[in-house]
Amino acid sequence: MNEREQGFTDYFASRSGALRGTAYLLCGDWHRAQDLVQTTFVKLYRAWHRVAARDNLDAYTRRILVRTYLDENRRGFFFREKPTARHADASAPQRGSPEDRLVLLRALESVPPRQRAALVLRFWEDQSVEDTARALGCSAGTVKSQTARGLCALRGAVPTATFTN
Amino acid sequence: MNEQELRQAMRATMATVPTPPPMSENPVLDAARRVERRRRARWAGVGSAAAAVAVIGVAVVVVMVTSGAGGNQAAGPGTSPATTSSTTTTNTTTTSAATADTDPSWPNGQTDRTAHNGPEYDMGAALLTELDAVVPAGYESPDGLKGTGELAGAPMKHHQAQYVDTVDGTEVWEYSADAVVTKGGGYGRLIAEVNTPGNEMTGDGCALKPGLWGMTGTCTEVVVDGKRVGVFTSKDHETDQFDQWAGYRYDDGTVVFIGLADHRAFTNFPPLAGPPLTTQRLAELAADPGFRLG
Repeated sequence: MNEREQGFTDYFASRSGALRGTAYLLCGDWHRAQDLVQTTFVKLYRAWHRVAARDNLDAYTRRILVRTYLDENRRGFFFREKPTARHADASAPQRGSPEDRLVLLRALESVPPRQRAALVLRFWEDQSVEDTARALGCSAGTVKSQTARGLCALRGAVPTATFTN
Repeated sequence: MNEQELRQAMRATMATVPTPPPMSENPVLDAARRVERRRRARWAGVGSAAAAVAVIGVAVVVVMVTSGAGGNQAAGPGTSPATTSSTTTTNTTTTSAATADTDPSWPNGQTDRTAHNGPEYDMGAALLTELDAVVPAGYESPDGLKGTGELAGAPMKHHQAQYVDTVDGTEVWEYSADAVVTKGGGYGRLIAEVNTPGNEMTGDGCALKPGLWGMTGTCTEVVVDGKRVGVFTSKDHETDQFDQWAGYRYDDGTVVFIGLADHRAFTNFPPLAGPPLTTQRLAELAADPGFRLG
């Protein structure tokens, strides 16, 4: 393993876990999250010689991840029907239970991809509006609009009492 | 659910969901190496094919010269391989790639924030026409150009009309036109963005905020016919998609941005030798009433 690959694998070891968490919130599926992270790092490898020394390498990697996710959705790779045990008249989950936590993931599924990406970057990654705009390749105004719409869609999908303390 | 509640919910969720074992770097590294090997092989193949076409061409010319055969017959084999290879990758389109955005609150019966027809769509198209008209002499802005690299197959010239919000009963729109410009084998980029009154921009000249796509840079104020235009230069050439952009805010709140880059981000196109517009010209265009769209 040469010096370039050593640096790359060190970076992978330190960042792939966090990136996989972000990918999971984006797509709601660990298998796909790992695929997204792998694709992200394969793309990063190609550019490693010119980006490795960047101060904002994390932002660059995050941008690849988000755009890979959006691109795959745009192409419809993952618009497949999923089996579900949910029923419209199912009882509400107990507060604080694992099922309660999964309510958020289910609700996120109902949010369109770009809005979902804006929500994850803003509130999971704690990115600024400007940094989120860079990652999504859009204007700051669009990020605000997408975030507001995403929150609105979530409100409609999450029972009011689920996440309040 | 507000922003803080969502933040807490995401943390609580991620702390609760079962997490698979950490990913190993070996499969990723192997995949990356394979992709790079294929990429190198493809480029080598392209080079070989080009060389082969050249050899065939030379051979055909030699046959023509020595046998005195008709030009039309001899031209076939020499040109058809190149023609075939250049057309096999042109069947990609992104126009059907609408997202599954079903929010019912978009205006004018739209199914997402982008107007796909009607007067707002036409405004976006008009902006692209304006942008096309100011491509400087010596540069071209090809219509059918498709992207490469991360933007493989994507159109390199497009316009968009996006609904932003409704403020005091007035719809706020953001129109944009984006075009690659070429010269001498290099590729750069021009963009125009118009934000209608009611937008969130404040300030004039260098105080214009939050600016184009939230990018920040060093600013020089240029006065064009008494209009204060802020011309911003990127401090982060690697990250920002544009090298320079100029913004002007009209009295009614309309904000016009014109941006340029000597490269096309996210593609493998070679860059231009220099910026396609001067700073002064960039400022003049931002203040040009033609971009105000009426």
